[in-house]
Parts: sequence; structure tokens; C-alpha cells
Amino acid sequence: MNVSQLVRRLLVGVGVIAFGVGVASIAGVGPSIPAGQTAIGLVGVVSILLGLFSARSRLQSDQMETVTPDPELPPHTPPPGDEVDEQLYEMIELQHGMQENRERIEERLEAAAIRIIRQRDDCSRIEAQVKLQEGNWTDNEVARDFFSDESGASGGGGIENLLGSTNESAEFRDEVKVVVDELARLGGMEFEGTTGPSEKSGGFLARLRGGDGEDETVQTQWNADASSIDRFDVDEPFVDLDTHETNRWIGVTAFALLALGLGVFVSQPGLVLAGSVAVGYAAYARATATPPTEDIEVEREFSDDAPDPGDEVQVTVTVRNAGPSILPDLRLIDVVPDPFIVTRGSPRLHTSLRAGEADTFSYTVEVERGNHTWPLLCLARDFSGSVERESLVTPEDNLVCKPVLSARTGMPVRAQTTQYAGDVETSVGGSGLEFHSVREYRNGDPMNRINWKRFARTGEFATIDFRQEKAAKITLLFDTRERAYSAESPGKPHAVDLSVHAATDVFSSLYDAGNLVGVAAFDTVPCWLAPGAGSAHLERARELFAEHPALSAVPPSKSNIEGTYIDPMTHVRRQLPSNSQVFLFTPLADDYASETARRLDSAGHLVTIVSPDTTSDKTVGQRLAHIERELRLAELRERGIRAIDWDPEDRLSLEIERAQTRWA
Amino acid sequence: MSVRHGVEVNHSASIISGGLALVAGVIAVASSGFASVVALGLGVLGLGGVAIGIFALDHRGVVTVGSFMIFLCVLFSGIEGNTPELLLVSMIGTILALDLGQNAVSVGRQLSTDTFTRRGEFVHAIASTVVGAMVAGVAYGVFYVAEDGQPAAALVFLVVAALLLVWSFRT
Repeated sequence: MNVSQLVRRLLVGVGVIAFGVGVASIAGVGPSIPAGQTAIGLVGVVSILLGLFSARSRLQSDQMETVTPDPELPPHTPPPGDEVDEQLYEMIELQHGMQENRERIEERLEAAAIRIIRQRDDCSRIEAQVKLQEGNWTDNEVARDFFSDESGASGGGGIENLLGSTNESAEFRDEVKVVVDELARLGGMEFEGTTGPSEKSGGFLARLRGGDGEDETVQTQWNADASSIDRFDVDEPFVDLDTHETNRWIGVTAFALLALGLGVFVSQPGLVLAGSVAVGYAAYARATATPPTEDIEVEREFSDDAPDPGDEVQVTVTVRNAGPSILPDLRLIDVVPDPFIVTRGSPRLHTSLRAGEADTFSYTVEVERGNHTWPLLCLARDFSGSVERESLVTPEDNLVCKPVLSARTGMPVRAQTTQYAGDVETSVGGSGLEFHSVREYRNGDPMNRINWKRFARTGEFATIDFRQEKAAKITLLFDTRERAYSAESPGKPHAVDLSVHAATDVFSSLYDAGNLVGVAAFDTVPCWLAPGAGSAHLERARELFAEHPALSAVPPSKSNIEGTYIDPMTHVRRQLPSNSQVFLFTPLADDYASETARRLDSAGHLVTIVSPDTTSDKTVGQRLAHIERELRLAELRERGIRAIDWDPEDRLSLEIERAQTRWA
Repeated sequence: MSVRHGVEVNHSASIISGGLALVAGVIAVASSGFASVVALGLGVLGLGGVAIGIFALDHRGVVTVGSFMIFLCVLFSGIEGNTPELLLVSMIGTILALDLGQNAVSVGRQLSTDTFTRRGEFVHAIASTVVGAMVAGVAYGVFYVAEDGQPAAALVFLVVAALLLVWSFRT
């Protein structure tokens, strides 16, 4: 027992004795203790002072209340380039990491500038570097000085940088803006309007959350990030998170003490009476009982048990109090999985359940692929609301959402020769359907390919060759690293979702065309389905798209990828058949993906890149990321790697048609 | 691929508890405000504070300050000699304004305006009102009995008892 508890018990004990003596003297049976006006006045003053103290502490303390998540809202993944804005924000607003952030941004800008100069002037890297240093690459003075001054600023101005003021950082930001716009102009890219204030795209909330300068680029658990609850575990049917006092009645103590004291002091029995009411409320607030949330039973019903991604499903939740006692104040929030969006209704309820009673609520969600189980967050309070208990109840009902493999988008396969008969049109003549050429008869040529008309005319045998058609082995490879979880703006699907949605379509059209198709992903969680055929293979592919953690709609959580760095391509490279074509789905948000494409190309794989464009142009960082992506695309195309630059606003099939005319 | 539109989530304070809090506040001011101009002024200001705190700012601190001003209005009317019965009603009203006002903001924040909250809120409001009525009934009974004799010592002991108990409830 600690001191404060001891003191409290002492107070209660003495208080009860005093109460007894008071009641006894009212009844006239107690000892007649003389008490003068002085004593009464003194008690009044003490009471008033304590009341004022209590009022002050009320105003200083805040209530302890669970901050609930907003599972209704669409998931938010930052657009590419967000990290640059974050670095600028850190420098300007937080006065933090001045030197490192400056250097990082300068490095990125320099790399982009050198690439642009190389592409424009068709020169070597060294030459481009010299041009950049000398400053004869552009007419824009700010941009020119930015790179030529660079060595001087970071070399001689070390102390200045350390003491860098907001003003200086803001100047730096303006310079970066000018340089980025100049690079865009040289690269032939156009942005609409000017950049907005360089604030993080996540807005005010994200700034509050990320304000401590963590180097986190992707928020992995949106629900947990927005609330005071760290994790929403679904492994246990009941998780007791926390029980805490809400402190919501502290003000009543001040009312009680002030009214009593003043009433005694000015001899107004009415005020003493009013004060006693407040005393009663203070006692009510104190008389707490922890609500028995472990007795809650939850059931969930779905209007559709096997929905496709993007379907709307109505969820009906029934909550029952199976225990013997009342749950007077229940606040329920169904923590809908992060990739879902609530389109109608509210996944919340505020109710009160007597023993055995049940209540329901329902809402409609737009579902996303995966096998989903999610918890119901129960915030239970007692009658007065002084105690709040947080618990998670997870019903067994799960929702499995598998994508349908539908062939809507025809995908051109690169020409190649293999031993399987199939759809790839080769330039080799042989048996087939389409006319290829006529050649001299050789012994053993099949009779049905002899050109009989010619024989009738000239009396010479000739053989018709048809264009040979062959099956290709194709591996759909996904970039699903954290970086790939980027979306142009909140509410828009991120690149991995776009890729997987497109791939479920492309997969079956390639398969229908007679190719052997497999699936793989860059990830430390190995994801590999060898190119194959058959209905079992198709079903396996569907399962993989739906449930494989590497292709999940939610970014990998930090805990999965901690530890030593493993090259995400290691397991893919080991298993990839040497003659397999590769369709690489990547937003090209960094150099890794384009480097991988180049290496695969060098290793003899025919690579086609499908790159959903998730870049935006609202802030400097986003513009820089846009420029970098365009440069990567250009470099890949220069190397002869096919790349489809897909604007998610358009249908992929249109983009493919456009690309095909370019390739033809 | 277009933007996926979810429902809007509005965390404004709940209208039900907020409305009940205002009604309680109006009753408190009405039963005390007539005592003096100062009391009435404080009461009206407090009501405004509670209303703004609930409906405009969704801020608990403002609600607390508003109900504290209503409480000051009750204190002033008590000093001016308002009747014990009306003071009891005022005090319950003041505390309900504080309690329900706080609850309105809390329900709004933790849940949302689209949530079905009627049942939970009414149960809370009824519980708080019943507690007030019961405490007032007991206190008035004791007061009524003690009115005749009213030895000063008894009053001192009762007040000291209340002080000690309240202080021990405090944290």
C-alpha cells in the first residue's frame, strides 16, 4: 500500500467519524460540543481554498480518453517524393537535420541533373558532371549557381549550416523549387500551376504524428496510427487492452468544496445543501466498477460470402451481453481492415446492454483482396463514465475475397522461340496457320503442305511454310517493396493494388493465349509460382493474388522486414527459368526496379515493364520524383526494354495499344 | 481508376447529449439567475460558453469553463438568499450541463455523428439525472429534519465530513 492510498483511507475514516458525530448531534444524542462562529468560518475558508485549488487542477488536467481510429477512411499511402518534402519540412519547421537533409536533397538533384544533361547532349557521365560544375548547361541563374556553388557551401560553410536559420532553409527550399522546375523544363515535362506550400501531403494530422523526425516513409497500419491503440491483434478472440480512469468528474469536487465553504461562510443553508448534491455526485463518480467486457459475444454476417475485389458487401454486427451484469455504456467500433472503405452506414455503435440483451448495427464496405478477420473495439464505461476499459473482441467469421482472373486486356508477348506450340508468332517458317513463304520441296515434307497448284502448272514440287507459333514462358514479377506502396493522392489505389488488379487481367489473357504464366514478387517473404498450365495452376494463382502476404493490399509492417538486408530479388533470380519472359509491374519509384529490369535483360530475359504512374506534381518532392521516374523510363527504353507507362486514369488496354504502335 | 469515395467521418459533438446539456444549463440559470443581475449575467455567459463549447468548438475545456460560470451564477444567487429548493435544482442542472456537455464532445470524438448513439446517450443522461435527484432527496430530507434544532456543531462536523470525503474522492 503506498502513501497516497494510506492518506486516502485515513481521510475516509476521519470523514466517516465526523459524519457520524454530526448526525448524532442533529439527532440530539451526541456530546454537546460547543462550536462558535469562528470555527464555522474557519471550516468555510478552508473549504473555499481547497475548492479553488481543485478548480485549478481541473483546468490544468485533461481527460484521459481513448482516441479511436477512423476505419471508414480510405487508406493513405504517400505519393513518391514525399520523403523530400519531409526532409524540407524537417529543415524548415523543426530545425533539425539541416546538414544531412540538405546533402541528401542536393545529391538527388545532382543525379537527376546529370541524367538530364546526358540524355540531352548525348554525352558521358564525366562530361555531364563537368558541364554541371561549370554551369554552362542552363540559362537559369539560380539553377546554375545551385550546383556550382555546392562545393563551396558545404565545404566552407559548415558552421553557417549548423547555425542555419529558418530563413536560410526557406531560401534553400525556394532554390530547390527553381532547380526542379528548370530540370522539368529541360526534360520536356510540364507541370500545371505552381507548387503548393511545401508541407507533407499527409496534411496536418500526419504532421502531428510524424513530427518527431522519424525516417518513416510509409505508414503501415493506418488504423493503429490514428488512434491511441498500438495494435489491433486478431489472434485471440478477446484481448483486454487497458482499463483507465477518465478523470471526467474532477470539476465536481471543486463545485462541492466551493459551495459548501461559501455556504458555511455566509451562513446560507441553501448553498450548503447545493454543495451536498455535488458531494453526492463526487461519490457517484468514485463508486466505480470495471465493466465486464469479456462477456461480450460478437457475430458478423456478410451479405456476400465470396465477393470480388471492389464489390460492396453489407456487414451486420450483432453484439450480445452474455454475462450476468449490465454494461451501461458501450462504444463499439468495428475496426474494418485498412484496405477496405466504408461506403454507407457507420461501423460504430453507442449502446447499453442489460444481461442477455443484444444490439446490432450494419454498414457497407468496398472490399479488397485477401483473407480478412478483424476485431471489434469495445470501449466500455461504467454508469458515471469514470472508468473506461478498452478491449478487442474478434469474432471467428472471416471474409475471403479472391480476385477473378478475367481476360479483358490482351497483352503482347515478345517474340521468341521455344519448344512449346503456342501463340508467339515466330519469324521461323514451319507448320502453322498463317502463310509465311514457299520453298523448294525437300524429301519428307508432309503431303498437305505441298503446293499442288504450282505442281499442276510447272510440274515441280514446292512446299508452303506457315508461320510457326510457339508458347512463351512468362513470369509476372511484382515490385512490392514498401516504396511501391505509393498513391497519387489519398483515396486513390496505390501502385501495388493497381499492379495486382492489372495482373489478374493480364494473367488470364496471356494464359488464354496458350502461354505458360507464373507469378513472383520482390519480397523477403518468398512469393513464387512457376510458369505452368492447367486449372489447378489457375486456382493456385488466384489464391496467390488473394492471400499471399507479399501481394497484400497493406504495406509490409516494419517487424516483417527488420534485421539484415536481403536483396528482394534473391529468391526470384534463383528460380526464374532461363528462357522466361518477365513482365515487371513497378511504379519505378526508385532505381532498384529499373536496375533489376536491366539485370534481367542482361541475363537474357525479355523484359516488359508495366509501370502505373503514381507520381503527383503538387509539391517539390513529388515533382522531383516525377522527373526521376520519367528519366528511368527513358533510360530503360533506350536500352531496348519495353516499358508501358500507364496512367491509372486510363485503361491499361489503351496504353498497351499505344505502346504496340510504338514497338511495331 | 477513380478515387474511391468512402463516407465522410464527422466528429462533431453529439446533438442529443449536447441538447440535453443545454436544457439542464437553462434550467440552472432560470432557477438562479433572477436573484441578481450579476448572477444572471454570469449564467447567460456560462450558457453561451457551454453552447459554443459543444456545438461550435467541440472542446471540453470550453464546456468546463462555461459550466463553471453557471456554477458561479448559482453561488451568487445562493449568497443573495435564493431558496434551498431552487438552489438544489440549479446545482443539479449545473452538474448535468457539465456532465452531458462533456459526454456530447466525447461521444462525438470517439464515435461519429452518423453513428446510432441514442440508446447509450439516453442511458447515461438518465443515470446522471436519477443520481442527482436521489442525492438531492436525501440531502433535502436531512436538511428538513435538522432545520429546527440546527446545532452549529452538527453543521461543522457534517461539513468537515463532506470535506474529507470529497477530498479523498478527488484523485
